[in-house]
Amino acid sequence: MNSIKEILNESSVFSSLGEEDIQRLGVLFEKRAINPGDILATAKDAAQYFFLLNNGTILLAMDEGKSVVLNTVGDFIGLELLSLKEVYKTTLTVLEAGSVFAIPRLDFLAFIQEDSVAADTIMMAWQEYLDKTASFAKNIEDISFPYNY
Amino acid sequence: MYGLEAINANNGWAISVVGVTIVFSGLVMLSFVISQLHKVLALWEDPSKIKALFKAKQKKASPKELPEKQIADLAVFTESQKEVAKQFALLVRTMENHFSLPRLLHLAQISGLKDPCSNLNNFLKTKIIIPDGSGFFTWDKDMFDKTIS
Amino acid sequence: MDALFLEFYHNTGFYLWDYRYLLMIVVGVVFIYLGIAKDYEPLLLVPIGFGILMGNIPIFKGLGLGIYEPNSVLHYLYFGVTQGIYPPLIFLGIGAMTDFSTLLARPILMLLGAAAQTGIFITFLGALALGFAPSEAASIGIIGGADGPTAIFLTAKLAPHLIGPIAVAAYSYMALVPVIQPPIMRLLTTRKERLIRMEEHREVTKREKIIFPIVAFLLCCFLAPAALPLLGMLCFGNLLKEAVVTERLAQTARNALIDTATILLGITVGASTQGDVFLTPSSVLIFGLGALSFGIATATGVLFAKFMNLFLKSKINPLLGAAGVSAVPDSARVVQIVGQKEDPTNFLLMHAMAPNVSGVIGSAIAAGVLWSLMAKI
Repeated sequence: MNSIKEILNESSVFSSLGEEDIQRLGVLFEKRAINPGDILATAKDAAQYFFLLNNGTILLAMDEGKSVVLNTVGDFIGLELLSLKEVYKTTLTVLEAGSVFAIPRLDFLAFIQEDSVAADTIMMAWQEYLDKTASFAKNIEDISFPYNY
Repeated sequence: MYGLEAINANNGWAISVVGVTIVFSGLVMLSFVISQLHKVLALWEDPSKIKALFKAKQKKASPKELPEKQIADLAVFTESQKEVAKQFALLVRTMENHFSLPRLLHLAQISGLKDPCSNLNNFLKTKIIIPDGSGFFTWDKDMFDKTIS
Repeated sequence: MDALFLEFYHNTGFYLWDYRYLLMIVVGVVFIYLGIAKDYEPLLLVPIGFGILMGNIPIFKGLGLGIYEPNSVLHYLYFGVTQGIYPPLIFLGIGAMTDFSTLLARPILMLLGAAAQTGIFITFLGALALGFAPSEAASIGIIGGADGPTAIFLTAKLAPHLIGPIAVAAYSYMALVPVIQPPIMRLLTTRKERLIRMEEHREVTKREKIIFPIVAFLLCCFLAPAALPLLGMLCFGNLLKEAVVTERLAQTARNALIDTATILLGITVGASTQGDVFLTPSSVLIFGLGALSFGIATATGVLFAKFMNLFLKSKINPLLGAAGVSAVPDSARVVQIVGQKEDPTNFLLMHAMAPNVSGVIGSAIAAGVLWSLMAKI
């Protein structure tokens, strides 16, 4: 069974953090067991938590039928992958039993909104992770004008 | 001028024969091209099949042993799971080639299939269902046949 | 004052009437009745029927009212017929509403559409034998394609003076498909053949449906470039439909655009059938040859299906051959009805749509071929 420190060190989003920052971040997470069929987040509900995968498999369902399957230790399900403007924009369904570490959304946002090296490191690593995992999930502003002349 | 005389004088036979030949040739050609179209598209979508064609002889000469994990993955399905897998295959047939995984899960749930989340997870692990990189998934029929048979 | 009233009376239809106008008005009323009361192709027969009424009001020539007078509104609207504008626009709409997936799933059924077009060329020979000029004979033969826009398009190019009778014949026989085809189908098939069940077709991917109109257009127009206006619009309309991203354009094509073109085509073709032009011995011959053309097209389609069964492991129900006549979707419905009379559980409609839509392509190619061959004569 992995501890939160081990998972943070394995996660591509957090592995570049220093020991102290890992410690500070680690206390904010709490472990939860997950079972097949569990819904961790439902689209349009108020966004409360972000999740870090310990083991198991989670299906992340987006708009227009798109989805991503997350089953690697350290997969981080948060920020624009999960929420937009305080509301979940995707639905998380558990496909395989395991466990996740949940962090309150506001706590995480407060951490990355600090003017610190740790916050910068996390955001850079997050962009790389998002590009690799679900580049189609990025928030892109759209103009709702039907024609291009 | 009437009758056969009129037909001969106006080159009627030649025009009719040429006309019928051209119409038939056009539709025969089109019919042939269309009959091959789905095969060409299948190769285009999965170029590994082209490589597989060339490697077929090598495989016959020295049958490659599957790594243990892969063998274990193939052996994941119990008899009842295989039955459910066949039902999943039927559902997938009603969907597009690049289908939405959440939609498949939803269809499986409303169709009353057993343990849809766990079964979907099995398909993902055994690479029967593969992500296409743009948020949708495809069904590998060959892998399915190999695993379920 | 008496002179004024007299002059007014001499300009009225009551004074200028002719028995031929009256006869055509009766024909127009019959078309409208068949369209509204009997629901026979109402979208075609009602505009044509009313157009016949408009074209057969006895008028004083020179006032710019009649369809053949240069400055009249009807004449300007008729421009779309004589210059072959409306038929391609209608084909655009037809392409935007046609689903070619049954054809893509079983391409061999395309040959039934090809076989049914043989009726066009046999009727062409028959028209030549009856003394019609080659261009007139080609226009008469195309009636067998059972495709109104194609018939009007070709006739406008080759024999514009015959547009009226040919259009009326083509659309009349299209409306009579459920009457003309079944006896021929039953005559040429055995009960055992009518009971043949078709294999379920494979699923066709979206990609195939998108690529098909492009491939079909390029292949057919390279072979018969004269089919470009009709086939080009048909394939373009289908691409708009299948591409999904252009659904807005497809919706316009299969709704507002096709309806507008159909209204204008119907009413102007109807108005062109004026009694003094329409009621001639050649019109009677055209009607007779048109019926023959339809019958031969149905027969050749059915017979070709039986011929194919000699070589196929998985047999085709020969009734499908009748659907090669491109009266979409009426011939396919007729196949379904005739097949179900033998076996109520035998659903042939979707299978019959394959030769039915291929008949549209086939008749467009045939029209293009005839146009290019006649242009050289």
